[in-house]
Amino acid sequence: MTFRALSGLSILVVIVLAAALVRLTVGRVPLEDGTWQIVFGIPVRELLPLRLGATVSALAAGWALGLAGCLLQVLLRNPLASPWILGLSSGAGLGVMIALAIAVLAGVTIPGGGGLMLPAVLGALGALGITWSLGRVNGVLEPLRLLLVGVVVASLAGALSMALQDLVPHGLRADFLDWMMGRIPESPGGGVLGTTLVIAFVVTMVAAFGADRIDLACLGEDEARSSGLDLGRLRSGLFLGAGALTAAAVALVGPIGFVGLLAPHLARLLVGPGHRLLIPATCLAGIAMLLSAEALRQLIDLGGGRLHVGVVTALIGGPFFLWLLCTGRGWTR
Amino acid sequence: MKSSTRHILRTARVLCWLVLLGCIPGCGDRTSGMDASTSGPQVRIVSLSPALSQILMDLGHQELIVGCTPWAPAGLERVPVVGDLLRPDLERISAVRPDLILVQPTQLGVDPGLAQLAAQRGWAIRSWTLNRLEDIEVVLEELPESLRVAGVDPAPMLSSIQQWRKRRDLLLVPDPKVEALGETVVLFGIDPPMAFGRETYLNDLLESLGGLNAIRAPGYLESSLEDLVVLAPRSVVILATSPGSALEQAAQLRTMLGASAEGLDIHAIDGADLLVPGTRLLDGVQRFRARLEERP
Repeated sequence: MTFRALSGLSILVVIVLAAALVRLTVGRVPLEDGTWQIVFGIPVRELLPLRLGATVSALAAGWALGLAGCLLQVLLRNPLASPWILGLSSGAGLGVMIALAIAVLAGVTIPGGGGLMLPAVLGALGALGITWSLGRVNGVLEPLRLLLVGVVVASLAGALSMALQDLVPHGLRADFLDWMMGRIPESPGGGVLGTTLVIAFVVTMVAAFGADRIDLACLGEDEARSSGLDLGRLRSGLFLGAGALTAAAVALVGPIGFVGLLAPHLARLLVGPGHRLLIPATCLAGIAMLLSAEALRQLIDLGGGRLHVGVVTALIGGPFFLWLLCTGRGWTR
Repeated sequence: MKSSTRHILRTARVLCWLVLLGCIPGCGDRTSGMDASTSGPQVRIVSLSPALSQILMDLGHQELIVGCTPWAPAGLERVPVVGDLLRPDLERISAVRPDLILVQPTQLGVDPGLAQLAAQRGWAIRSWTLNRLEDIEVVLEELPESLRVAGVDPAPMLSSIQQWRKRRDLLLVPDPKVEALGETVVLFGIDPPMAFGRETYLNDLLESLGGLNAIRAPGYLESSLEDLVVLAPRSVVILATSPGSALEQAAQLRTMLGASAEGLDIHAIDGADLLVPGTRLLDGVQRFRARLEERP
């Protein structure tokens, strides 16, 4: 391991630990005038499970989203690829909107935040299935076709979600928009959190063991084939891995943008392009980004409530991505 | 031309005619035939607020409503939908030829397109905010006058309002059961917890019943589970649109709070009437008090 890689990984680990520390120790207490004061300190026994819940949820979702972004950037050979480019986020949103509309029309209980997880996963998997089946040529995933199908699926799912919004009352539209901005649960369902962690761990292991093959795939189609690499199989593996990671993350925290897009670039900047180190670094970068956003959210009080974590990732991620773009860092070095 | 091609063209022509016929008013949905009738109520009212529709209905003038929102109260199913508060459908509103439009304005005020059209067509627009309990009283003061100007006899309405006020005075008095709730957080959603703060009609109701809102900030607030634990209220009241939903949310909140829920008094209330700032609030209050009476 080179000094650059070692220092890069160390930086990411330090950021993750610092963000976790902030998330675990920052809270707020109500004042007499109705405002809240931010306080630091070791949480009391009642608060610790809630803060740990949010910290572990951010860790799991950041890990999954970062890795999904990395796999998709290899698969599509496009530095702009992210989990949302294949329509998974829009598909999940459509799933949630369909559930809300059905609940209203059938006069049944509207599922709360936890109840929206299943339709989100079903929507994401539905979009994944469509993109998968239409993105292949002669049974093999073709990156450009996959990208175009993903964009169309995302647009269609987004349009259908908007159309369905007319079927639900304003209050539920607000719920939907709230969900679309992402939220780190303080009390995550054990099943969803556990599933996300297991999927993230398994895909990380598989990707790490296949890092050499991923590196070969990055060289180009002809080079990869001449080296005996089964590109079709590799692409299928990358696609399914990224899809499972994204669906699990969406189920846990909703659609949060920029983490999947930026984490691979940040990791590449710190440890270089080799996937043996890039994969663990991307996982750490994803965790660092989402956990930092969640910690930062704790420090900002706008009066009417806290910022959505998706807003924080976009506000930080957008300028950072522009900086990477303007300086050419992140994918050229 | 082959006979099969001719057959296809003929079929296509017939289909085109059917589509064109379907576009003629009266052949379609609930909204399409609304400008067909010439007779109707003496004053034609479009209500773009479910709460104002409810108040008008409770005052005995449901028949005056010729246009409403998709979320109008039960009883207006046969009234054409003409958009809603944020997106009034100007074409549909024109089609029902209103004399008076009732609006509960957003922070941005009345939709400028609607205001402009109303000015051109001579429709009156009356708008009331319904944030506080006293706002309902303002509507009850001013609505009969607006209808009187339009030619409606206000006497029956004034009688209904009198009865409503009497009932309000009987119901909205300090209740020992409500006082016993102690510091209370009233939620209308739990994931994330959405709370009624100060300067809201539900805070006014709670205070008039002798309750104490644990939230001191004004307005409708999105909080977090941690905020709930830090606030440490003695009670949490969950309002939902059905009893089942309220119970389900109460159980879910208890699960999410874990050990922190111990000692917390969580009340699940069928709050359909309490979630609309209208005259039916009193029904909701009555149900809320009865629910508290049921508990030991």
